[in-house]
Amino acid sequence: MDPFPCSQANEPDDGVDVTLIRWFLTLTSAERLEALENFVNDVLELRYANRSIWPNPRDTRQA
Amino acid sequence: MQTVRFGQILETLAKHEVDFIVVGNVSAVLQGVPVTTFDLDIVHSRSDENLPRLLAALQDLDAFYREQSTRKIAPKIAHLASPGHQLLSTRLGPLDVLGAIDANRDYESLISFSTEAVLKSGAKVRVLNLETLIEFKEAAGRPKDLAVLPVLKRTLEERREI
Repeated sequence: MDPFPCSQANEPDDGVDVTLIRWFLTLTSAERLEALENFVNDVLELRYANRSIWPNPRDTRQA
Repeated sequence: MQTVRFGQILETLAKHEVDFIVVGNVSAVLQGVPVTTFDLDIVHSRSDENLPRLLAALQDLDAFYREQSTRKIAPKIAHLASPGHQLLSTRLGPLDVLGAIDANRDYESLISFSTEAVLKSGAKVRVLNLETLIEFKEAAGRPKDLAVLPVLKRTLEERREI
């Protein structure tokens, strides 16, 4: 049977996902920055949507 | 809710012809390291010519000190002339403007350890190279620095194999 195509069997076991690195290296620097911005903005949007559950103790505007 | 636009912050700095180097995790991202961060760190030139350009860019970005919750205090030339760290909020996201890092390493001493990255508009910015970023994070030794070292090192290895 053919090995699973995403196998990392021969990679060092340091927990780093080398497939993610290889994908990220295929992007241009502008695309990498856009990926980071999208991630950050998605997290901020989630935090904002759940602000009553996860209040920011430093934000005095929140109840 | 604020939307973060690191690219546009860099474009604004480039538009004002500010001499700076992107350091920290955004420099790693620009060089292909899949890590995240919520702020953008730059080390700027503290030359007499550069400080007014930086101040104009920060005014364009509506920058103010983010620790001040009751009133907005904007940075001044005297602040930017110091080796200290100005932790700012801007209309496009958090921006840390650093006079020096890692025991007084300033713009002039870091420029030879930087490389170039191209933004969406085609503008070019200087970024601290991965080798030096790894050295700094190893020297800093803080948990947050040590946590990203494996992915920084593996990315550097992968880049060398391309």
